[in-house]
Formats: sequence, structure tokens, C-alpha cells
Amino acid sequence: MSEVILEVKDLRKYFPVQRSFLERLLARRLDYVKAVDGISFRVRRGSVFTLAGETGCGKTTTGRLVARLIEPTSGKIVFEGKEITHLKGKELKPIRRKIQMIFQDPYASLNPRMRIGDAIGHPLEIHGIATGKEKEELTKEMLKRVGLTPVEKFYKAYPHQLSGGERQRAVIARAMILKPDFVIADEPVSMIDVSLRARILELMMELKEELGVTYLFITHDLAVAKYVSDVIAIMYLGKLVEIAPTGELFSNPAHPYTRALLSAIPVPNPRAKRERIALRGEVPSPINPPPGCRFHPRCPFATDRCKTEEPEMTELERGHYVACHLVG
Amino acid sequence: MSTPLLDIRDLKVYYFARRGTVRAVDNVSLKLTKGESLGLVGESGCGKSTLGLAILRLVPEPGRIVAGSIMFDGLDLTKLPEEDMRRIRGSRIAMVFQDPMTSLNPLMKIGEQLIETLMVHGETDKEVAKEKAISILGDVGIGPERFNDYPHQLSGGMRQRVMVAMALILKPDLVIADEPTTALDVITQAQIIDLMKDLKEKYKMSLIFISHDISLVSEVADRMAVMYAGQVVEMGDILSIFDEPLHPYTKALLEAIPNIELTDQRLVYIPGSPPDLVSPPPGCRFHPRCPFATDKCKIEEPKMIEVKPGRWVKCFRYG
Repeated sequence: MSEVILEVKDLRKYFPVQRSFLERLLARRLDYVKAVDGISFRVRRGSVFTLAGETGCGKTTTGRLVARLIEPTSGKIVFEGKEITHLKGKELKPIRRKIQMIFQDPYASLNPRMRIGDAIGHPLEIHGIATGKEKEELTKEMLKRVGLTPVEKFYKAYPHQLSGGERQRAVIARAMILKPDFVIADEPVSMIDVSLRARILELMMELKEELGVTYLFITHDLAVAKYVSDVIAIMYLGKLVEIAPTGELFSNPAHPYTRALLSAIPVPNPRAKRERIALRGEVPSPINPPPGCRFHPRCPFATDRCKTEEPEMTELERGHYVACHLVG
Repeated sequence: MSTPLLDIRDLKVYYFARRGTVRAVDNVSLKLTKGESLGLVGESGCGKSTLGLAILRLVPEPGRIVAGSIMFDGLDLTKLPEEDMRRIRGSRIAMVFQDPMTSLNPLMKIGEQLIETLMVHGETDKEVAKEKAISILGDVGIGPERFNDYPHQLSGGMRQRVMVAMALILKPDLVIADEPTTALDVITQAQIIDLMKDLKEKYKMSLIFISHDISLVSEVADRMAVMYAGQVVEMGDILSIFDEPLHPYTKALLEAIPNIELTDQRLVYIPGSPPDLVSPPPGCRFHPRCPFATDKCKIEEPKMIEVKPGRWVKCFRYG
């Protein structure tokens, strides 16, 4: 088994709740949105590790923490054996080169006033890798690699002249031009039309093989997660509830939330027998999450213990972890 | 086959934009029988939402229905005076939109909004209207304690339940749901889909379910119409389309979606991207992306033909 490239230990991110002036005067304590509340996981080099969960579960915040775009409240991020949790400025720059990010919205993640060629080549300049003619050559090579051909045309084009699929290829090219070790891809295909999605995913997987990249893939779409991932972690209300190799997760889901989530995924088969696991209510607010197991108010199997005691992550089988009092 | 509830023939809906005429719906014909649910599938910009809006005569400016007819229970909706059309909206044909936050009045309690709908459409007794409103909210799984809530006090899933209640309260014959669950998470989505399926049976209504998600359509629809670049390219019974897709676009679309039932799936993709509807390609609109395109496809437009009863396709490979 390959080495661990990223280790996250008990990571937390609390955002203070914005209040009006009057409320601030009256309130005695500050409330926090506990977006990420003590999660730990390990990612092996060359693998695709997916964080999956519903809106507001904290998966995007986790990605941004790992990319060091926001400061964690507490916990540790260890990358290639070195702690990077609180690195700043000069110390952080080499890490920035190694960790890149692909965002969801290809319309918002490219500067509309910057030509595609300049946008993709810019990181080379920032990191002092190449300038001038050399930069242009490397950029064109990359454009060709992601299928933005004829290269000359795309090199000079502005983002608005590109379709959504083409823009996402440009975003991927920009992330890959530094030959990063680790790429965080936050919902990279959710805004791409169905007929083009497979090509974008395929391109990402080809680049992974060629450049030896490790992916932290973030998605709400478990069908896409199944297609690309080696390991999937299911997140609920700021916590990881289950981590397992992809095949194991789908054939043997252990956490009641995972099971409900899997049973809700639409299947492209009109004959499919759908036996859904119904859940009570909706996801509670992350401001004052329920005590004990966060899932207990909606769990069909919750006991008194679940209401008071928080379950620990335990290993069921090799590599299959679950945080639930009822299993393990 | 009994007389259809809805019979759309050769419908054209164009947007007269400054940069040119966008042919959003271009020669679409389809039928819907009473109690049936039709899934309208296609990628963004294929004209599926415009088609849904055209049935209600709600196509926004600068769009216009330029040709064709929409027969609904014996009335041609394209020719009806606005006054009569207003009576049909809501009471006989209702719509559920994607985003419930922009479709509900943020300043009005949800119960009041339901009562208003009833009063506008001829209910005179406010107490009776209130009873009906409470009862329909019960049908969509919202308790009477929520009656005086404002939309912002509800979660996304509950708001969409209110939208479904608003659509059903006048017991329409036809509900058009345009991406009703796209803004929702998967568990909430499943709840809304199950709810719509149950209520469709209970109220014996017809349903047009518009979605980009072919998996979702396969859960809801009896029949399916696949749209590409402003036209319906394939139509038929949902089982037969999934068993044997005929049009190269349908076939590719079915192979492009990940299926959690399968392991080691190989996804396909369609090269190129959908055309700009200001200047769609001549001949078959799919020809630039089609692996089977011949010279004929580049110049001549195929007709929609019925290859077997109820099974329609617009492709030269079938005649």
C-alpha cells in the first residue's frame, strides 16, 4: 500500500454568526456555525478520496481548509509528512504549488478580462518556473493536453467565448500546469451538461495517471463518486460518519445515514425496485447541532445512548470505519 | 387510444433577441392522455422549459409562440383570449417551478397564499377555503401548525411541498413540473418525487415532468420525450426507450450517466457541444455530434416517424 500523502487530524472550523448591532448588544455569547467539527482522515498517494454529503455538511469547507484557503479553528493538517496547518507567507508558497484546486463554477473561476492562455500560464510566472516564450510553450502544451484545440485560438480567447465544458477544461489546465501532487476538485462536473460530464471525469483520471496526482474529490452526487473514487467518506453536519473503500461502501453500508442516502439515489432504470429508507425531519442547523450522535433525531434506530454519547469512529473491517453506536 | 388531454402540433416558440432569433422550440408535436405522466428530458438550452411555459402561455418576452397549436381538452390554447387563459392557469393546468423561494410570495403566510389561490378562482367562503388549504397541506405532509409560517421559515424541501400543494389545490387536470427537485438534496428529492407520484394517483391528474436527469425521469414517467436543440428526437414508452433507445442521442445520453447499480461502468460522452439555437446546423441538428451521420443527415432534416405503435424517432436510420 502506498504512503499517506495527507493526514487530517481532528480538524475544526467554526464561523462566528453575523448579527445585527442590536442583537450583538443583547446577546451575551457569540454563536458559531460548526461547519467542520472534528474530522480525521488519511489519503494515500495516487488515490481518489471523495468527501460526499448533502448541502451544508461541511465538505467544501473541509476542501478549503486542506487547500489552506481558510484558517482552521483547531486540528492538524499534515501534508507529505509535514504539518502545514498554520504555515504562512513564504513557508506556504511551495505548498501552494503542490496543492491545487478545481472549483465547481467554471464561469466564476476564470477572470473574465484575462485571456485563457494568460490565465493558465500565470501560475508558472508566480512560482518562477517559466516566463516569456517558455511559459507560452508550456501553456500551449497544456491546452493541447486538455483538448482545447486549435491551441492558437484558445490561447487568445476570453472566457466568455468558451462553452461551460471548455471553461472547465481551462480550469483543469490551470490547476495541472504546475504538476501538483494533490488536487482538490470541488464538484467539478455538477455544472457541466450530462453529455460532456464523462469526458471531463475521464480527462481528470488520465491526468491523474500521467502526473501521479492524488485527488480529494468533493461531491454531493454519489453516482459520480462511485465512478471515480477509491475511498469515500460520508459527511453529515460537520462530522464524518463513515469511511470505506468504494466497493465496500456500496455493497455494505453500515451507518444508517449512509444507507438512507444510498437508497435515495435515483437509478436510471425504470424497472428498479426502490426500497427507500425514510428519514424523519430535515438536517438540523449546524449552529447548535444535536448532542450525542448528530444524526439521532432523524435516525430510525436511535437509542437513549445516541442522544447523549457521541459515537467514536471505529474500524469495522480493514479500511472501513463507521461512527455509530449500533454497529461495531 | 382515447382522445388525448393535450395534443401539441408543430409548435414553434421563438425568442426574438437582439442577436438573432432563438428557435427554442422548433416543430414539436406531442400528445398526453388523461392520467399519464410524460417525462421531458434534455440538456440545458434544449427548449424543454420553454415548451412547458408555452403550454401555459407564459413564455417571457421577447419570446412568442409563432406557429402550431396546443389543443387542451378541445380548446386551442394558442388562440384563447388572455382572460380565458387566466382561468385555465392554476385551475386546469398548474405548474411547479424549480426554485420555490422565487415562486412563493415572501411577504405572505403560506396558508394565506393557498387561500388566495382558492378565492381568486371562485371560492367565496373564506372558512371553506381555509379548511381546504389545511387539508391540502396535510396531503403534502405539512401540519396545520405551519399554516401561519412565512416561506423563509421553511426549509427548501418544505417550500417545495408548499409549491406542490399550491399546484394541486384547485385539482388541475394537468401539472407541469419543471425541474421540481433540482435545487434539493438527494434525500429531500426522493421524498418530493415519492410525494408527487402518490398525489398524481390520488388526484388522477396528468403530469409533464421536465428534467435534465434521466434517472429521475425513469422513476416518475410512463412515457418519455427526449429533446435536442429545440426538437423532440425520440418519444415512447419509458421501458422500451430504456430497453432499446433508437436515436443516437438518446443512446449516448443513457450511456453517459453513472449508475450506482453497476460496477466497472464505462461512461461515454458526446463530442462537441449542443448548437446555438440562433443558427442550428442544417439537416439533422444532431449530425455534427453523431457517430452515424451521413451526407444526407447534413442537408436534409429527418421526419419524426412511428417505427412501431407509440414509438417515435427522428432519424434517417429508421426510414
